[in-house]
Amino acid sequence: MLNPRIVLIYIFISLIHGQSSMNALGYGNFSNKFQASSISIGSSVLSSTFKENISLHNPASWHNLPFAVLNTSVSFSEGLFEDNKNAFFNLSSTTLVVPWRQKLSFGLTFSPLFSRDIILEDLTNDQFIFTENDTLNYRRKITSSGGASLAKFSLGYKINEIQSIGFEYGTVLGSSRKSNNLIIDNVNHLLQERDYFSGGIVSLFYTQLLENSIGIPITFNTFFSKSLKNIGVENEAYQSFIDLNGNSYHDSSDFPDLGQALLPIKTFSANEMSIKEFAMSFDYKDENRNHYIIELYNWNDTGDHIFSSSIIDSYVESYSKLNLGFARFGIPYTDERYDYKAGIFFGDYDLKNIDNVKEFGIGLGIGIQFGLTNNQIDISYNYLVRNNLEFIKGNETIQSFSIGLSLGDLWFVKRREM
Amino acid sequence: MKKFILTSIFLIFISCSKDSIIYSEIDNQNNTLKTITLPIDNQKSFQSIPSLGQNSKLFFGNESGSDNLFSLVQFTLFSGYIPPTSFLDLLADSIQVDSARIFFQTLDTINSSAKLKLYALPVEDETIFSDSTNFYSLSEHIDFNNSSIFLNETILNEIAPLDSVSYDTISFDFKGENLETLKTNLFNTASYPSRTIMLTSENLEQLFTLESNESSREPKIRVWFKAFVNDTTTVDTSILFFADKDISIISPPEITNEDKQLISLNGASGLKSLIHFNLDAVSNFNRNALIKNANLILNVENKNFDDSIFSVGISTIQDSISNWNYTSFYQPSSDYEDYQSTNVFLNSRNIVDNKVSIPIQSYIQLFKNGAIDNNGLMIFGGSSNSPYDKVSFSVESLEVLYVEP
Repeated sequence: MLNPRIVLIYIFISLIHGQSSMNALGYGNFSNKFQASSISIGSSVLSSTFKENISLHNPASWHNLPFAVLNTSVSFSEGLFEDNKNAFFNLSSTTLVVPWRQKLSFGLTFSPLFSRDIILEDLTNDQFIFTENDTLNYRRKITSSGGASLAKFSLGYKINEIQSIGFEYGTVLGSSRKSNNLIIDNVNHLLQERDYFSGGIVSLFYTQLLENSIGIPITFNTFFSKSLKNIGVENEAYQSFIDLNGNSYHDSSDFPDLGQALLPIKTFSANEMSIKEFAMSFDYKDENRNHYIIELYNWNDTGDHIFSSSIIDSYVESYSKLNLGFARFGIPYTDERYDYKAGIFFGDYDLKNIDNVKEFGIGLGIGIQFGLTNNQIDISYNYLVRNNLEFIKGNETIQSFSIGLSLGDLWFVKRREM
Repeated sequence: MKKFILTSIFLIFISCSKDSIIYSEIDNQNNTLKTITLPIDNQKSFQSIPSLGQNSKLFFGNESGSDNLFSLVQFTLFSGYIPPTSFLDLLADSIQVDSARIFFQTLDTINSSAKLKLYALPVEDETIFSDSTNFYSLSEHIDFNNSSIFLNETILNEIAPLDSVSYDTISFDFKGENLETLKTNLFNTASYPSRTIMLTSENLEQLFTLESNESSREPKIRVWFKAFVNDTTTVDTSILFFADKDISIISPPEITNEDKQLISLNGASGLKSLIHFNLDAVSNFNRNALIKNANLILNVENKNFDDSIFSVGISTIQDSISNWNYTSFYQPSSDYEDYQSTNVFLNSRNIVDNKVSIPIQSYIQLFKNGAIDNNGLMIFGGSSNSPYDKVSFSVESLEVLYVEP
């Protein structure tokens, strides 16, 4: 049986987000949800990435799982912006999938929806002369952290040998924090706010084997996702303060004293984000278990975005991606139990008020199966270049290593009493 | 295998730290740091009741246009020992008082031929002074000078504490004839319940202080006596009486017309001041404006002392002010107002280079946050100042630096 302590550790670490420059836009970056096996093919959503004909992001494929699976992934990334290297740790989704008689499956997933983890710091001091003898040196540092998360319940159902469908409902929860720090003569002057997220997202999945109709072993996958209840944000704006004791919290040692500060202002926007996602993929499989994948993905947000809590005065209105992938899956319990995966992708972020950002990435990965219950370790490498980041006037390169761990177990089996 | 995997995850987790993305072009709006000059609406000096009864010193000497008239000390009715023994108990037939000593302690150094004289005040009132006992209202009280009985005196020569934190003692000893005078005029609380002595200096032209009741080294009386318990038993012992309350009564320096026009302070006369800034502009500050710097600058226009430390305090006041003309408790008119300071905002600084700079950004921030009304500020001399010292200031407009993170 799965150790409850391990489950707790996974849930804990999956709450942590990593940072990239895209986290500075709107309510944060939305692309941290992919687990290691998917990243190795270029962050594919629908196609065979985890095991043959199975994607952990696609409930319509879960009935193919022989065992229940608990999966989570971690990434160690290094971002390069101008001359600065930035290392960060990122945890993606944690998923529990339980198949039933290779017909029905259900799953629980906890994943980041948006990540706002970023620190932007300006090391250049400006000067302000207050009186003849008082020259102040000041600079800025902007920090945001946290972000919305998604708790999802999923169902997959195999209609017949060539068709299957999936349904998923996710509840948006969590909060993020933002802190503007005006550093005057090394004393922090902080303006902090917090956003609380709520809402619901529903997704429908469909998978069909096309071999019978067109004579070519291709699997067609598609999904559509929409905010069932638009994502609302409650913004809690605190009064600025001089952090005299340097602990980043407003307390009785600061100015103004916490007891003399204004109460936070709470504002709610019910339609702050309205997200739609669509993807479709074709997965061609040859006689040597090689899969050739092409996938199109689109994400867009038509919410109001009335709060100005974005670090950069912009947000992602839409994102489109073309993904080309290759996977060769091993055979369990044999010497050929290794999976080899690779992919490239091209992405385009359409940003509000500012120029689009283009991205190009490659992914490489290997999966190793072990144990009687098809446990699996996925190791992937991802190289990503984002060009034309006008808002920070430069390009960004991110390299990341991801490790995914999947532990299998047999559920719904009657065991003979000893 | 599981342990290996979990350990690997943990090591990766702790090996990664989140650094800043160094970014040289975060917009610094021009109005990040802003200044504003707040004009003075009104200012006034006023004379309140001097609260010398709460001072930790008793003052002596004549200088800077002030005269020390005398100091009064009332002792406790009972000694500080068990069983409680009153002054009157010491006059019983079974008690033989051998001697007594009234002693004071001081941190001052002085070598003078001036005398310190001690008197008893054998009057029938139980309470003969309070904070309102002062130069101006003597007519409402007994005639201390003519009611007093001389007890003893000492010359203030070679009084010198060992260091700045030790105390020297000034004693008045009583034995024989002057002991009888003491018993008659101080111990006999049945006839003279005030238990009060008067202390005055003679020919002292400099400031000299003794520790008062508010200090931990208050004046005391030690009495040595024999108690005859029975024909064969005699207890030979001593007891100690402590000061209960005291006050210095001083003829303060004259308050001139110029003093009344400026921000003027003096402890002996109760001279204080009020100031009111126009904070209308502050009301329009953004919610997140932080008052970074706002110093009330007071420039010394004239003073009657040279190098002594003079502390200036400032506080909020309870009610708004309607009369901005000079007023005095001593000659109250129909529009006389009593001003009560509050400790919502309180600060103080010393005069340095003929200037005082007192930070008042908390006051401005409190007003900006709507926590207080702008009733004005009271300016007063610190309790550690010599009550003889008088100073007048001119005041500058308030330069305020505020920021919006």
